[in-house]
Amino acid sequence: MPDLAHSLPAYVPWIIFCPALAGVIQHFFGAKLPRKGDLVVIAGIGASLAMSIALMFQWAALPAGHYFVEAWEWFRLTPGADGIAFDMAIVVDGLTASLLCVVTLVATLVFVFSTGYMKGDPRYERFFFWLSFFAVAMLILTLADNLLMLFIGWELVGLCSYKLIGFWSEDLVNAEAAKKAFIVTRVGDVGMLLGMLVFYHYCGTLSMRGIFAGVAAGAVPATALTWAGIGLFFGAVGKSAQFPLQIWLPDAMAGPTPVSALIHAATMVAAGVYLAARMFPVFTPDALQYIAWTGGITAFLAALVAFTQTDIKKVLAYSTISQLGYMMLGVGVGAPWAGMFHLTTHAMFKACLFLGSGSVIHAMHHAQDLKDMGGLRKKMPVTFYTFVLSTLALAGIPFTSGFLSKDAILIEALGNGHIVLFSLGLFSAFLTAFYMARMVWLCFFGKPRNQEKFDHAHESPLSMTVPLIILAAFAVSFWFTLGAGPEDEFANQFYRTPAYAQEFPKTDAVAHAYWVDGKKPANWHASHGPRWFQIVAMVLGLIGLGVGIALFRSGRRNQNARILPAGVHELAAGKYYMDEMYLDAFVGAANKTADGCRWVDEKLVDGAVNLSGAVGLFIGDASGDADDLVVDGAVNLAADAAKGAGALVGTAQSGRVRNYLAMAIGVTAVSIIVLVFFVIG
Amino acid sequence: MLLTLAIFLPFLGMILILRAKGDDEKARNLGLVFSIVTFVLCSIVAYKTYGLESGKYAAEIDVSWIELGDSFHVRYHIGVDGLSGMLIFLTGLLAICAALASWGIKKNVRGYWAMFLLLHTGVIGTFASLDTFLFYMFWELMLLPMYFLIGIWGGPRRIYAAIKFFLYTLWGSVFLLAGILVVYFALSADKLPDEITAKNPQALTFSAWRAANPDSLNGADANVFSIPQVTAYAKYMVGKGGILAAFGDLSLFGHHIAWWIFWGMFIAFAVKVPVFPFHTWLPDAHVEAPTPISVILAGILLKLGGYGMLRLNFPFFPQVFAEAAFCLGVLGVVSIVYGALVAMAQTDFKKMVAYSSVSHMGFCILGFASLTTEGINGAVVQLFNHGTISGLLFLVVGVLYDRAHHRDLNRFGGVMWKMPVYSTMATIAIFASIGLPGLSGFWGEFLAFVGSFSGHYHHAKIITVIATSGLVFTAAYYLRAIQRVYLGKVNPACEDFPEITKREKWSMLPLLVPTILFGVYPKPLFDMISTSLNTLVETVKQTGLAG
Repeated sequence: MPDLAHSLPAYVPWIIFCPALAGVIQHFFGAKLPRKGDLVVIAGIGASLAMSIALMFQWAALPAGHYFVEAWEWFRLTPGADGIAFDMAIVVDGLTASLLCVVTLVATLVFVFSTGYMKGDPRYERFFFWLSFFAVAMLILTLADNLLMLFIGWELVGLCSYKLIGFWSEDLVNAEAAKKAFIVTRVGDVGMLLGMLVFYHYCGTLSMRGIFAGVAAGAVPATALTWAGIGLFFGAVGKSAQFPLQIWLPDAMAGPTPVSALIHAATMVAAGVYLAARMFPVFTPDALQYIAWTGGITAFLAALVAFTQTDIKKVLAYSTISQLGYMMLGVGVGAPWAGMFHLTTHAMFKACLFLGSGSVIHAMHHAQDLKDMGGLRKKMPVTFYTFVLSTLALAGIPFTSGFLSKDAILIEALGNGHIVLFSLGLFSAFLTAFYMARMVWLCFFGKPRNQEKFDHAHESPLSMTVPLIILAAFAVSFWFTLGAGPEDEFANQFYRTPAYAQEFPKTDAVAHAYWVDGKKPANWHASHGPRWFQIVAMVLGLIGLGVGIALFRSGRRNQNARILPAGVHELAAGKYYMDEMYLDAFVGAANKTADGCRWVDEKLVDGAVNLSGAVGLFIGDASGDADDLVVDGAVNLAADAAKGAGALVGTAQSGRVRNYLAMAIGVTAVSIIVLVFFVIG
Repeated sequence: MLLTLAIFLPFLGMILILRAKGDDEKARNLGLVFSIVTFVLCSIVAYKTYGLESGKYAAEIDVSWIELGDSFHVRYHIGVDGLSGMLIFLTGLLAICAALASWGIKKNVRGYWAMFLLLHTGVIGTFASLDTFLFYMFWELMLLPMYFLIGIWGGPRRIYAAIKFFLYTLWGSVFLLAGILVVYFALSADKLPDEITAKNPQALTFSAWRAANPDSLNGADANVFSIPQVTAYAKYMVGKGGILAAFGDLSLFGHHIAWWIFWGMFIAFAVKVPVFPFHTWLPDAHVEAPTPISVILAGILLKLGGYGMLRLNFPFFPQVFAEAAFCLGVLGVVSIVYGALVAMAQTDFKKMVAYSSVSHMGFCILGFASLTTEGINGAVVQLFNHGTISGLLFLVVGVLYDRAHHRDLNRFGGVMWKMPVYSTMATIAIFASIGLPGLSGFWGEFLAFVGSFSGHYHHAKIITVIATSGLVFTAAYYLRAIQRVYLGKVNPACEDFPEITKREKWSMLPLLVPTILFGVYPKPLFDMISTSLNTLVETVKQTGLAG
């Protein structure tokens, strides 16, 4: 086995430090800097972007399967080489390199966009500080080669998400949404923590290398491995808003739109997919089943809800949940590379859609309901064209990036025999095209429905349109097939060769072979797959778009028109009543239990203490002294208190206090003597 | 000498303050100066513990003090290892913060500062004691000033709270003293019954054991009150009858005498920690105590409970400790979850923070129960970090109380927009308490979980899983508090809240810095404590019940 690990290029930690440094400078000196220091923050993330691209090329120059890795000791509990120590570690393989580029690129563009979008906000500088902090946390998460470090980044992005969702928390609705996001994802994090504990218990380490080695050596019993995998994945369920923890993401749209684009579409919510792909070698077939079904169900359920929404951001939010479900489906059917590929393409076009919606919202003076829109394509041509291009990618129309990645997931599902999940995915793809066509039409075509807002609308400034154009450019499939031969294309290069894949061959418990031998199954790529599938997928997408447009074109149907059958519509519009159910079943129950515990604490536990105190007093009473000593003593203590410190140290009449103390010490002494004689006998 | 100075300098300060008749300003300044000097001394002493070998103590002094008869030799034996060094450092740090927060005390200023300093003599003395009797003396000494500080400078129900605190702790101390005396009788008996020697030919009496290892422990004479000696003897006697071997198989109600003494001592310390169900004095004491006293109470006095367990309870009775792991684990998890739930039901900000202490100190017990290196290290780091974080939280509440004169969570709103600097600090403190990684509160919880999951008792995994639910409840009540107090529209009642003053800011900064620093870089803490704790873990491992 050749040594596949290379030592890390020295600049890699600076990918994290640059935005961190920029954030610190901006935080402390932002008020004094020109433009409140937004340029510093953009320079910080820009430097990270440049280094990330350089790193990607440097990694690509390595032979296939090789990677960069480095670990530093963080702290140590027992000495010696085999002592207990915890490390910080960074790994750079295809997964890292690609996600790194996605994160830094989208972040840079969103930062630039924000200079226009957030202009004039009273807390402009705070916004940029938190954006920068988020970038740092996300980069920690991305680069981590250690579950502990990953978990730290994981929680910190959660904090930033909390802070940014509630950025305008003068309004309690926003604060409520932020709280909900934090607590719901924390439920998932508990699962993740438990998964980590299982791995630590059996493998004695949290480094991924150690865990893979341990799993490959069979250190973890099969059942425990399944549960550990599901536990880890539950963290991803929370973070990536998968069923049944998806309820927080739509509410998270309360945050400023650039935040929705960066955190709640492109990067943080995708971190769950990244985790699942990175830890793929530890998932047992059972765990993968769970992942696949979670993804498939989420993709379908969220797509249905998207039909019932009239808020432009809410439609996109449900679409994001649905697409994240797709990615999970990819991981679950044994093709994490496909999930990661969709993550990459989705990050670009969904960020573009969100920023586009931000551009519209900006133009409409913070109106974001479709009922106020219509006919905007002439007023905002750049926003319109970029939005449409990204919509095509989301719908999976040929020659777009989404076509490549979505097909990759579906064909993997089919190729690995998940017929039901495949059909579910295919149907969801049709729904996606349908609801996106509906939204584009209602927003940009037809007659303006709110003439006053329409008259005031205008194209956004360059700081906002340029990021849109760049992101939209990545919606074209060209970039993702660049320099790739038929057998060796982009996705293959990046996502099929994660670190350690060759070093730790699978055991029977880890049944899926893709990572390990690098061999492609016969029907691996769409071009090798059944032709009928591609045609069906394409036609379904086009029909979806066509139906969506046709239904709304004539103007007979307005934004509130029901497309779904009545019963389904009710259910979807009510978000399957999961919020209400959780409120009743969990929040309500927790509050009731808390009140119950409080009652127990005050009445029973403390009651017992007070009762024994009273009994003590009663016994003391019998001896005739207690009243004088305890009750009087207490009362007099208060009086003494007022008389000054001198009383305390015995210069004035503090006799009572001393009596009291004498009694206390006396009681103690007697108890001790009794006890000692009793014990010694 | 340095350590003696650190212990008795506050005492000297107390005398000077009492002599400064009628001059409040002078008393305050003296109090602050003595707190700062104490802090410097504590820091030096703590620093000296770095790199100490196992069983060695920095700044050690061992002189004769009380000599009665053949064996009753109480010595003035003090010294610090990493464990006590870290907590002494914490004491110094909190002394400064509490002193700065005491400026608002207007009643009986001299008396207040005198008691304030006396408290520190008691606390530092307890941490530094290496003699069980000395330990007990300082332990009791600390009660007195605390009683007055709550009872005189407290809130409306201060008398009730102070008496409850005093009697509850005193009740616990009875068991501690009994334990110390029983150990004394056992070790000074100087003979082992036949039933022990028959089973364990290698079992030695305390003096014989000491005579067999004359060079260890600095070659000190055998002394039954010496904590290092008894600890080492207990380690030797694991599996050979324990330190109470002199009593043979003496049992009460079906349990061996060592079992009774272990649990008796445990109760003494559990009251201080506090562990469910001995915690109800805490919310009362906290709610009534003035802000700086709450800071010390939560920041230091609770730590004495955990420290006492680590210094006396567990090392003296490793066998019983290992056997008790399951019960300890249950007590830990109940404290964590129950404390969090009761905190969730509170509307008084301070009471909520008080119950959060019950919950967070539960992690220490959970960590101890695991008997693992990770768990015990986590528990001890939790002692330190909970000290800074809860101190910070009580200052946060105090600042708010000074402005609003109430602590009802439902009567605030939008404080963030009126006091941005203060609110930012408050938010950091709260997130540290939630256990956010990157802030110091994370490490204790995380390692306690890591250790506890690998715990060496039945159902350790189930108990850990239940304990993790505390994470969600904690987030729930804290975020709810943030929302009610700091976010939303500005409550008209909060309209004219002034931003925190420089003095208030400086009282919080010394705690905020380690919260962030040790969150990012916890290595100094672990380097300090790990040696001392590894000795304990090794001892426990000899019982064969821990891995």
